[in-house]
Amino acid sequence: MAREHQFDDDLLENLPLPIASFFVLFALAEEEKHGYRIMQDIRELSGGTFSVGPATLYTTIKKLFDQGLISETSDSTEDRRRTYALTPAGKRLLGAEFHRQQELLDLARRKKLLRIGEQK
Amino acid sequence: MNRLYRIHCCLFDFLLTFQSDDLLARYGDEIRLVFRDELSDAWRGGPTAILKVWSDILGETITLTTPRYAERLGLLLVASVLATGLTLGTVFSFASIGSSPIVHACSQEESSPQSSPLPATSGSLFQVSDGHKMFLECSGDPAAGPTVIVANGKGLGAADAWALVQQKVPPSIRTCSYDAVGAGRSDHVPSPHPELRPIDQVVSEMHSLFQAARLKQSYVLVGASAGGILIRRYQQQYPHEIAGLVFVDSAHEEQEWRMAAISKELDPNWNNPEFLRENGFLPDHQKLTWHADIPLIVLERTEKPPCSAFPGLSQQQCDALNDEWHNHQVDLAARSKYGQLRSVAGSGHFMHQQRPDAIADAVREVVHQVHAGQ
Repeated sequence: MAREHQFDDDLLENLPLPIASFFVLFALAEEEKHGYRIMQDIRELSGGTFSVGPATLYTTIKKLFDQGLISETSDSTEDRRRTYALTPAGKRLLGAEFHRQQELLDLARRKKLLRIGEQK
Repeated sequence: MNRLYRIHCCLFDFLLTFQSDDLLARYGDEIRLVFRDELSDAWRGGPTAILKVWSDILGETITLTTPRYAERLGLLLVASVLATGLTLGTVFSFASIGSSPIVHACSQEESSPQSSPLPATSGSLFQVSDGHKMFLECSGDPAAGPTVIVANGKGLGAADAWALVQQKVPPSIRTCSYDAVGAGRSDHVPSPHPELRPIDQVVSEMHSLFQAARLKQSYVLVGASAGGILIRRYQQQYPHEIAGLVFVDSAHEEQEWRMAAISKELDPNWNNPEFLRENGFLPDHQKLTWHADIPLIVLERTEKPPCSAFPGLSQQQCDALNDEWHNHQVDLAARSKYGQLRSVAGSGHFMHQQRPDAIADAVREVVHQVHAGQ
């Protein structure tokens, strides 16, 4: 199942991820989805602060597919839509991106620039 | 509402024509469907929601297409300047001293394609032995040999990934690349994912493609990352076809068990026979016997991945991992009596993007060595 290792080094040098790639991978983290669902979920995940249009979405999907980070499945029963899912490599990269963000937050907290949890 | 809705759709379809042909060929239908879904939802939300959809779409159309059109505009400007220069040159020469300045004007015209950054490429689809169609494109002198082939199918998938390298190889060298089955313009297969196709199948598709495209033998193969294992496997199976090799921060057949010796967490599959077989890795403690006394250059990254990229590993384990990677490169360079190891400054694992010039230099040198040895 998890055949990710051979791409580790390639993948990790992709960090930090461009915001559109990050949100597409993030939206696919829970389950496979088709294009419009990805678009809606990105809006929801980002709390409305980030959204992608159809062409940006598919430009990103094309790039991620070519990099082996997501896979496509054609569903012949339902019009011409494909569904998209994270590959093991995509999962790993998303995990590494979260880890990177976590480290930045930790740094900000240590430098007392940000007091997470005390806001609001 | 229906008529108005259709007008919106037509307008969107029109805007879509400004996007790249490649994107439209693969996803055009789906993009239109997604827009229709989005518009239907916005319709329920009223004019503000519809306006928001359009402002997003206009924004993304400008963002996505501006660089391409700017490039075209740039080319148009260069062409206009060149044409004006030629016309003025001709007119001027006509008015002054006869034919020799015209020769000068003509030579300017001839030199312009050579100075263009893009080599002439020709791409076509070829049917390979298992019935799939594969896309292959070549640049440089068709009569030149050996043919340099940048390999895809492991490590990298589509020919475009090598575009920067291909542009930097001099036009006197014939350089070809292709989209692996499942990637780019080649046939897409439902499963497995292109990068997970068994290595022997990838090798046999390569061989069949090179034959179908009648590429001039012999070949110099270039492989990046897992593509290094791929081109060694190819050389092993068809040694008489291969005149030289370039490894671009190549993976190593022994790396799975050697890295598992540092941490078994790194890859749960390190001892999975099927996984190892399909990717060309060797089982536990088995050593690589491959050796080929042909021109060979190993390009090694100098920028190491940060240890934060391997959560769960100690600093010591992370250092050991980077040392192991370096040892693999040293070992690969010793696999030919002509082998050379080059550390490439300013490059990580993505050398084809970070230092395409270093790869092009290595290609040129291997080709040179092949000529010298003939």
